[in-house]
Amino acid sequence: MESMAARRTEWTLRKNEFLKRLCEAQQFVSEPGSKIVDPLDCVSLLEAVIQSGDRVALEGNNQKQADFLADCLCNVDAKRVNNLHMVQSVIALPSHCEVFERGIARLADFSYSSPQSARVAQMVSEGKMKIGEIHTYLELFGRYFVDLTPDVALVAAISADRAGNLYTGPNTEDTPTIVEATKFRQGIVVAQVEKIVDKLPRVDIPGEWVDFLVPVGRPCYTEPLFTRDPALITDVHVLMAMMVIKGIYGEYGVRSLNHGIGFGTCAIELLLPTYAESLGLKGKICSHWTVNPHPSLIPAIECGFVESVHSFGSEVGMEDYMASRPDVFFIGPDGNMRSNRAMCQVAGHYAVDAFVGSTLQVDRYGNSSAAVAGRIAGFGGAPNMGCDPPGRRHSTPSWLRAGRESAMTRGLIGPVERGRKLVIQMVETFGAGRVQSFVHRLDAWTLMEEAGFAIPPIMMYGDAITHLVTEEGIAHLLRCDSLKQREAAIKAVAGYTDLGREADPKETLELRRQGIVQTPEDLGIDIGDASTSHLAAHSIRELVEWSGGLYRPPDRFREW
Amino acid sequence: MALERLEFEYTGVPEEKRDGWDYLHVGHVMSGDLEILVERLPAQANVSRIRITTSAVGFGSVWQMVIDEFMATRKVCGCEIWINDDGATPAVVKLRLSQLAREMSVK
Repeated sequence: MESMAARRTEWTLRKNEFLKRLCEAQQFVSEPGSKIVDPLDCVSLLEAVIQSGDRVALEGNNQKQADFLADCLCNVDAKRVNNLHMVQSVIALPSHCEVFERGIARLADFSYSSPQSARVAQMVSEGKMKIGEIHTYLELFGRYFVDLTPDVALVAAISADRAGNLYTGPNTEDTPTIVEATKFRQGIVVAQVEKIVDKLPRVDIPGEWVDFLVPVGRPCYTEPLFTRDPALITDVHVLMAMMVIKGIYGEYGVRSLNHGIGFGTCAIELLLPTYAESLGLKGKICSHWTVNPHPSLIPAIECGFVESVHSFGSEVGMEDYMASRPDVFFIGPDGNMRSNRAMCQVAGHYAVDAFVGSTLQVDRYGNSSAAVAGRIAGFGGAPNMGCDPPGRRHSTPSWLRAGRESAMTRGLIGPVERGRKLVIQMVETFGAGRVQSFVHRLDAWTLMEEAGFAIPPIMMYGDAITHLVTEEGIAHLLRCDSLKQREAAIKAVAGYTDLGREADPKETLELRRQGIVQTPEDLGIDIGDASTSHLAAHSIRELVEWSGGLYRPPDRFREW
Repeated sequence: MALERLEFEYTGVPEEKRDGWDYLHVGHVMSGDLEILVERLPAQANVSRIRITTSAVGFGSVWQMVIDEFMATRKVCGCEIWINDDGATPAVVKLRLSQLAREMSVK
């Protein structure tokens, strides 16, 4: 029978279109058949391969940035190339904003924009930038393969050979995801590299997937975002870290985990070889990590606490140390580490017992947000780490124990048992400048109104949080059997903030009796004993010493 | 830089016997931190006076609550206490007071 529907007859429109552009751009390669383009011709190259209205993935994340290509994109003729739709992980560099200021791009779908948060908010209010959606990294990567597939990818690598094979090394990060999404729907891939070499240490991206190479003669910009100077850790951080180690990690037997970027988690890492060891927890907690290569993990690695570390990105100065510890890090046949943000995000989402993060604001329901009025900062990967993935099916002792304690979700699935990831927020009751961290109304609501979002930008929803840790104690929110009890437990650890002052002392005592709230005293921790003297390292220099000189911090962290 | 001075007074029951320390010092003055200096008054004294000099203006009521709680739980009596604060959060204040209490009981 003949179908009534008209049949599609064209199947290679994208291929034809991009072939046409590739031909157009051949005038800029160094010689016929080559992929190499002189950096001075890069702007012209971009004008040839990018057309108005294209979706463009400009690579850049917390660490590695395709900064040269970003600068070139700012300099294309906006009369020729405009109305671009940027689909990129982060808006971090001034050039990422310039692309919008100059009318080259108009629409942005991204994950994280903290370094440019004020400018992004301003551009939105001035109508220079329109935001599609703000995603987590995994969501954005997911949409690369659904409805936000890039037409053109501008990526960064360390080196390339003449065939276009790329070596991305320790900072491989987002490159495989961006290139695969782009190239397998016939898009165009342009890579900036420091240099062209005859033989690469290893091939991270196959040359057939790369169309143009721009050797810029210098490394791409890389931010040492996860380097925390132990000298800046305070006694309060140590107190909260001791509570997490004894009251949560030790209690639940947390083996696999992700740590955020804060000083609280940095303190935990530096207390593993000392305080955790003294509690007899070595071999019982913190053995498998999905985390960037934090220099503050070095003492725990050296003491045999850590069995494995897989990373989203690399960290400047950690390359030689990691290469020398192949039993711990993910090291290629060439001897160098390879990170992969998408894989590590999947691991941090599905395969760990616990996530620990920090935040700026918490409301009475436990919703937390780092959003501040007048700033659009996005989410990054934290919401994927900081949630209990409903698709998880494998069990671990920590996961099972947390599931059994989850009073409010028990019973919804009959007698069936289900576990739970631990999602821990560490927050001091007052932040910098004595601003209250516990609030009646999150600034996220104001930001929603200002920016016209459909929903307030919540980093972690209250129902995902199992534990809230402040200097006052631990609120085991998963053990609460009602929203009213959760609120009381949150207020009980909110200290002298307005919300904390609403706590009923009698109710707090009852929560402590039931083990829902634990103060340092309840945990057997003497507050007066919480001191940075317990840290395994007190400075960047001591981290270098722990590493046997293999960790080479950037100059700005060298105080000696 | 504007400084705010606060003063609190507490009356307690004089200690029966006293030994150990006459002066104590914890913490240090740096951004986000504070130092506490304590001098014990003669044995019969039952009034403690706390003088706070702080760079964070407008937090008198929070100071009052933190100090009230400390004096109520530690039963400090007959001391002159000076607190020099450079913007410490209540968390830091409480921690330093706990360190002070520890010093008081150890020495």
